[in-house]
Order: sequence, then C-alpha cells, then structure tokens
Amino acid sequence: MSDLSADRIFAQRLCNKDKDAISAFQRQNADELYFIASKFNNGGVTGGSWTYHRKVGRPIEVSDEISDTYIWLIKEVFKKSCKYQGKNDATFQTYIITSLNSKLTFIDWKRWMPTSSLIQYPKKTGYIPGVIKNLGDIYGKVFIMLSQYKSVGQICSKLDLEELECLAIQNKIEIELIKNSKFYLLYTPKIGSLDPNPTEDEEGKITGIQLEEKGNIPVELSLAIKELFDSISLAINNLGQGQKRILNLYWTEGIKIDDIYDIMIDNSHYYEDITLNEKEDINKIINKCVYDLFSNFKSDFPELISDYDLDRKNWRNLIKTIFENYNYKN
Amino acid sequence: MNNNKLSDELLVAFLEGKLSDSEKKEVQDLINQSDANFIKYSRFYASYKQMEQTEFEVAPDQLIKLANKEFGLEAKKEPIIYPIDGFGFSKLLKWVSNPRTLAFATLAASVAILITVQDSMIERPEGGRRPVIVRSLKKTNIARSGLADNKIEGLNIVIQNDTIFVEQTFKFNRTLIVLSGGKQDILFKSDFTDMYESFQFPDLIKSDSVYIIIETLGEEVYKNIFYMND
Repeated sequence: MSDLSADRIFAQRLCNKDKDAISAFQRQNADELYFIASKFNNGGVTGGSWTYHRKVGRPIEVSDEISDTYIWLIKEVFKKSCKYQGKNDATFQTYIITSLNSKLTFIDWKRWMPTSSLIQYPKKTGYIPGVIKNLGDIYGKVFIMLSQYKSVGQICSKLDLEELECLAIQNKIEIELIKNSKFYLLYTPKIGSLDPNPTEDEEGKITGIQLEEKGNIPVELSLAIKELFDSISLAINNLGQGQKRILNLYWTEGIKIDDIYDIMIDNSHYYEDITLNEKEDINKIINKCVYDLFSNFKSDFPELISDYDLDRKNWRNLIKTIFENYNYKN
Repeated sequence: MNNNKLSDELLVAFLEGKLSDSEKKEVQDLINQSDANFIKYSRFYASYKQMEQTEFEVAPDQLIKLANKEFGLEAKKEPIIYPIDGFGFSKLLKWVSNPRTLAFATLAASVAILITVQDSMIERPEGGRRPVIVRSLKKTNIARSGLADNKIEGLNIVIQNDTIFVEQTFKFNRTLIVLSGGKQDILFKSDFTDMYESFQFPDLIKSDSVYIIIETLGEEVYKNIFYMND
C-alpha cells in the first residue's frame, strides 16, 4: 500500500486555495489543463476529429474561451480537491485529472458556459440550411422563427397561417432535418447527467443533475414527430441490455470504438446478448442493431414508415439523432 | 470499501489497478448493476485512457500568467526539472522542442560564450584553480541515477557537482539521508521543508556512488542510487 498522506495534505491545501499548492499544481498540470480546456471548447469529444496539436512554426492561439475555461478548471480543482480522501489507494493526481477530463465535468462546464457550445444555433443570423430552402420560402421563414424559439401560435399569427398548416410545415422541416443529420439546428441537445452520486458545489447546491440551460428554451417537438420518437424508443427497449449499452456509449456518450470494446470486454460476462472477440465486433453489433430495429419497426409500424418516407438509408441517422439528442435511457 | 456507492475514488482505484481481486469483483458488480453506474464508469474509463494516451502540447505562457494573476500567485521562474524518472525518447523530443527550453538554451549558450571569452582574458595565479559556478549550467557533472523507488509524485532529486538538489511539489517536512554506495555509512542527513532545496558538501564528489533516501514521518518515501563518476 502506498503512502497517500502527502496526497491528502496536498488536496487539502488546494481545497483551502493555498497559493503554493496552486502554483505547484499548475506547474505540474498546466499542459493537461490546457488540453482539457481545448477539448471542452471543441465539443468535449473523446475521439480526435478536432485539431489539438498545433502545426510547427505556427503560434499558439489562445482564445478567450480557452482562457476562461482554463481558469474555470482550476476553480473546479479546488472543489474536487475538497472531496478527495485518499480512499482505496487512489492517487490524487489520477483522481483529479481523470475527473476533470470526464464528461461529467464537461457537462458542468457547458452549464456554466452555455454559449460555448460548438453547435451554433441560427438564432438571429437568418441562416437556413439548403435542405429547408429547397422546400420553399415559407419553410425557410418557419425554420427561422422556430430557431428563434417562437411558438407555433406566434408563427401562425406572424405569417398568417392556419395552425394545422403551420404544424404540417414544422413536421416537414423536422423530417428533412432528421434525414440530413441536421436536427441539432433546431433542437438543443439535452444536457443531462447520469451521475448516481451527485456532488455538491461550494454553496451546497447539487451538481450533476439535469438542468435547463439559461436563456435556451428548446423548441417543442411537433406531436407527430413525438409519436415517431416514442415508437422508436419502444423498439429500442426491446434490444438486449448489452446492445443498448453499446449504442448508448457510441452515440450518447461519444466514446471511441476501441474504448467501447475495452469497456464491454471487461464486463462481457454480464451480457448474454452480445459476443465479443475483436474490436470490429462493436461496429458489427451497432450495424446489426440498426438493421434489426428497422426490420422490426417496419413490421410493427408500417404507417409511420410510409408517412415519414423512412428507409434504411435515413434510418441510421434517425437512431443516432435519438441517442444524441434525447440522451436515451433504458 | 463502501459497498453501495460507486465513488469517484473507488473508480480511480479500480482503473489504477489498486484493488484486490475480491474488491475488483465488487466494483464490477456495482458498475453493471445500473445504467447510471455503467455510464459513470465508462466516462471515467474514457477520460483515464485519453489522458494516458495523449501527448500534451506545452501550455502557452499567457494561460499560466493569466492564472497567476487570477489567483494572486507570484510569477516564479520555472524550476529546472531534470528528466530522471520515466524518461523516454518521446519526452526528450517534446522537451527540446519546448519554446521555453529553446529560449533557455539560447540564453545559456550566450552566457557560456561570454564566460569563455572572459575566462581567456583572466590572469590566473600559478597553479590556482578557476572558481566553479555552482547551479549556473545544468549539464556539468550530473550524477547518473538508477531507477528510483518513488512513492510520491513530483519528488525529484538531481546531483550536480557537490550539490544535491531536491524538488517537491509542495512544502512538507521530510528528511534527506545520504548513504555511501554500499549503504555502510551515513554521509549526510538533513531535514528540509521547502519545495526547492539544495545541499552542498564537498565529500560528495569523492564517492563513486551514493544511496539517497527521503523519509516522511519516519517512513521511507524515496530511495535511489546515484553514480558520481559517469
């Protein structure tokens, strides 16, 4: 058993915002904090689609967002240090860095800095995606008003439309966005937390529970699209537990295939519905789930398939959208 | 171990491989008993793995200055950290390509040239020895170290000429003990507290090797052998 008394003392000093301890922590972890701040400002993804490593000869650009995030992370260090007890031989260094880099901290950061989201909602910019423009002028106008969080009633009145007509336009816009993987342009993904042991901040408020973002009221789904989503959720519920967890890790959590494999293989004896021999099996399971879900959905809800023009091509996007935006939980 | 709660520290201990087989089994049961626990573990796993595999860029100085200002920290000069433990070629590349290192190297080279030029102009007494500037240039007579048994992160020791430099990440009372290479005799013993300490004693350079131990509250937290004449 290693001696963690020094770790406990160091954590306590950070908790007390001792200046020497902050200096020491920063000297040891500035590079890691810079990485996490950059990652958070690039959507918090664990897989590398964003450019972290700078090109040789180019100066490092530090945006205001990254600077603000860096300072915010150090303040998080103070809070998290207070909770460290050195139990079970967990070292403070691994505890603090793993915790700071986790999605839970990313979610807390997004609540603190809601405007930092990578997804830039059109709001007042007047941007209309091509797939909506192609439907006609009126669709573009309704899209802009929906993206400005106007209610259907307000849109009807402003554009002098019947309510049913307006709902049909909203529904058509939603379908086009789903088909083209642009659903996020209208609907803010929910920021939720699955931490079973929520922690409290300095003021004793519980962190890690689902909260609405300030000033960002999500657009209400049309009743028709809600029915479609509910039906798909029902179909997803019939998947095995292992399959559901893999889809959840892949789309809701955004975890890389390699990591999903490692996580699942260590726990594979808990799942009867999946067999894993190699990393590629994760991709195979995801593809098979999507394929089977469509086949079952087609036989259970044929009218929805025809109403929404659903085929195997756009089905995967639809399932992805549900996991990404609605934090599917079973 | 708290059987009902999957705490952050328990997950970290699990990921670090610090648990016994029976504890591991208990944690795995906890992880798989609910979706919430499973997701929490997966998030920690992905984070841990990512931090383990990432080669970090050096944080820009402006961020460090900003934090110093925000938290009222003194802008101390960066300490010289010698790459002893876990030193590898990739770290060397990263270290030499660090802009701060390059700037320091340029400055050090300029100083060395200046000293050389001045040195050639100084008249020396017959048989007299040139004065040695301790701590000015780091690459002179650094003792080669063995693989340290270090139980505390951030505790580093470097021997240069007749001086032992000790660095720790925060102030803490510890004891430095220097034994002869054969561990027969105690050559030197001293308590220290500060984050950066140096101990100078001329007998150091007479030894072929020395064995260094650091104790905290009577418990050995660091031990390593250093070879002086390499």
